[in-house]
Amino acid sequence: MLRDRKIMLVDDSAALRGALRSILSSLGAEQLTEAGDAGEALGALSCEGIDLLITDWKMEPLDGLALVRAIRAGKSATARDIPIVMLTSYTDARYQAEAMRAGVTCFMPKPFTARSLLEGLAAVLSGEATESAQSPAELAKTAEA
Amino acid sequence: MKREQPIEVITPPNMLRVKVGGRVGPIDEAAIARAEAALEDMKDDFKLWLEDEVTKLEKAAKLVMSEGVNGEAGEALFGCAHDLRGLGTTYDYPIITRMAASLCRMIETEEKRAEAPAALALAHAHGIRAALRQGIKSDTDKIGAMLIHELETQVSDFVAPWEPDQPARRAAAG
Repeated sequence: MLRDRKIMLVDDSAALRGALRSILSSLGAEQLTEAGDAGEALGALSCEGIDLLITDWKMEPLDGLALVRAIRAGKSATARDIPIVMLTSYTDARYQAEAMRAGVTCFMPKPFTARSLLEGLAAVLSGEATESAQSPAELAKTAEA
Repeated sequence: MKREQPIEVITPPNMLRVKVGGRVGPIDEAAIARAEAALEDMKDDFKLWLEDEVTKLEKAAKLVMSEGVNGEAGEALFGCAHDLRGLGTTYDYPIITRMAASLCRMIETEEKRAEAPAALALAHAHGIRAALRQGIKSDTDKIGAMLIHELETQVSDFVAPWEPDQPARRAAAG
């Protein structure tokens, strides 16, 4: 599923990035880039072609939401259109709505499991998350099944 | 045990061009098994990583005891609890996610922090430490179930004025 995809992981927890890397590597992802904060991610995005970005929300000094807004407002169409997964412990509806307005492609709650992560990524990579092939409620049911 | 939260996929208002084209087939169970095995291989690391996070939480909770939940100490404590809420289940300790979520619920806003009892915050930190030390991973453990029940009950009582739907939430928490 993830072979040949260039994926960037942005989280201030090196341990969590390690867990994500482990899961994604087990699925054949070989081109993984990591960033410990949003600024580092923006710097890397400007010089690397990334196919998918997975970011935490709560980071300092720039949080994940600011990162999403900066990417979506960017001059480079290539970077501007990257599918972005927000992986966060902020799970209330108000946070989801804010992420949606900022241009997040897929909102996934932490804590994640291997299954929940893969189900969410499958939705993003198949375009369901942006093409509304399934409603959020339907996708949630799929993930719970 | 509380069920893990479902994935919520949100459609952004603008039509985002999907850079990675083509449909992806359904995730097969073998792929999930591979990913779960990869996580299983990291279990020894998980406990070490949780140790670090719990130590941070304890320090923040002790600061709250001396400085009060309001202000920077309370914000720092929320940050630690928020991190643990997001890590516990992934690191094989769903009860830590649940205890941390209970603490977050108690101190998530300035209004709540202004009135939150520091001792109850510290009790959460102690409970989380006890779960990690004793290897109590979920509420299927009798002591773990008692601990989480007591913490959640205390927090439900505290947050009742801010959460009109609180009885339903408590029932949902089982």
